[in-house]
Amino acid sequence: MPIITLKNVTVSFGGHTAIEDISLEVQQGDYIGLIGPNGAGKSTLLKTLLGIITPQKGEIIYSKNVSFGYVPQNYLPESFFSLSVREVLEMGVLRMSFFRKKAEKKLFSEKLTMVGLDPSFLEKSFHSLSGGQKQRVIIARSLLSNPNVLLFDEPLSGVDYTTKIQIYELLADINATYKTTIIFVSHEIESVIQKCHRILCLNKKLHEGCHPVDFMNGKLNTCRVNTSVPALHPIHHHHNHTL
Amino acid sequence: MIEIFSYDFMLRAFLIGYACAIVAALLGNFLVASRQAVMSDMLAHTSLAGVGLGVLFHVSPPAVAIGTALIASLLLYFLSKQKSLPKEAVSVLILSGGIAIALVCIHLAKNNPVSLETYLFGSILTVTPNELFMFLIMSIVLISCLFIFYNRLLCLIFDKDFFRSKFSSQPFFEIFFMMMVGVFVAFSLKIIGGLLISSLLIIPVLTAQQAVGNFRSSLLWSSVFNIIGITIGIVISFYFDVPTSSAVVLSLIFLFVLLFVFFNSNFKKIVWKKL
Repeated sequence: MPIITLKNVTVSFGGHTAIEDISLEVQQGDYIGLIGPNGAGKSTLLKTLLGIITPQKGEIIYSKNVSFGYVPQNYLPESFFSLSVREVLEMGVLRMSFFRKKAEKKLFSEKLTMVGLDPSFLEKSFHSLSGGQKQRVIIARSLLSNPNVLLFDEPLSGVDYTTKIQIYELLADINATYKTTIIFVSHEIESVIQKCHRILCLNKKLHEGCHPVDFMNGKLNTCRVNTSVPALHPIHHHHNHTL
Repeated sequence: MIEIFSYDFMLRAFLIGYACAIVAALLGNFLVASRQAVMSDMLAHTSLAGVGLGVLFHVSPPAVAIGTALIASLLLYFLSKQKSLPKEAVSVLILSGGIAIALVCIHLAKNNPVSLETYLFGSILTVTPNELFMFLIMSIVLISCLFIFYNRLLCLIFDKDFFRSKFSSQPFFEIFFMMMVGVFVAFSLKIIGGLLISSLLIIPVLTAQQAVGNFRSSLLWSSVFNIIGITIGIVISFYFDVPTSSAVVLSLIFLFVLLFVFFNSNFKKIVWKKL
């Protein structure tokens, strides 16, 4: 039983189509990489899944127990103010706690440990952290509500290749340990192929059957556009070419 | 120095001044962080339109000022949602309209007993016990709202995408925040004046930022600087017979310059070394 089903979903902004006729089924425990060129609609697809954007056509069916964690692409841009890691994590909690400080600190420390950071990071300034550490904090924030689906939108800049690989490993760990469904946008195709269960090739429409490397290189003649449910079959690692 | 505290009106001035200082500093941090500093000026000027209308139609000017501030908040929200209308430009449009309406109303209201100057420049020394009571109630309500919704406002201002993913109430909170500022500004017209209220919202935040970077510390320190500014301003105005609101604003600017020079020059290093 899929936890999210998209049926022929189309989103457009002022006459410009961002994603078109997307059909997809997401199962509990999936670890899905979403790739595509700039402007392919990857962030739009994540925001549509979250309900931030309402599709013009089609429908999205959620299972009853679905709850989302979200790591936005442009999180906390440099500001006039600097925020502490604790303040960033507080954004993930509904209410300010006056009387539950201890419980809150325990929760924050637990989530920081989950993403491989020491609880002493709580009092550090968020903007003084490295790109990778910032991302880990933002992942920790998205995990505060114990979501069963985590949507991760990779930032376009500020994180080097090695750090990206470490973040993918972290996401894979979270997926394996907690059976959290993870859908992530990536620009690093090699690392995506190594780690995830399925790859969605998106360029306004979902392309099926093509190798992700060919897809990213624009060789779309081997692909076919998928518009029906069920959507993509899992990509088995042994079918992949050596990269 | 004791003399200043022997008058009831001075005690009331200090009390209402401190309440105003704390609420202004708290709201001001959110305003500066969300780059909406101009909005405070816009709301102050449209509140003056409310004062003008109140005078013209013989209705309580402060009550109408609150009404117009709330309407202006809604107007700003809906107009700034139009792609062709940038928010700060819309603020200036409403601001000019507000002051124009205020002047027309005051001109038409012949022989009116209320002086527009009281609301333009404030008159903290003439605050009545009733006004003090109302202001304290308003302060408690606004501070409670800020603390109850603190996490959500923080998230809305610093990370809109994440806010949208968690809460579906973005328009509500944006309007709610504007209305909080509107109500505060309308209530404060009598204290510091429509033309100067923005200084109480914005300057202490800039001052606090010279010393601390962290948002929560900024909330605390901007309140402290506002209280110092209000105290110095009232004392100076009492002993040197100058307008209180001007003395308060100049004290706030003086504090800002002092900290700016200290933290942006070699003075800091010299003093730090000696300590």
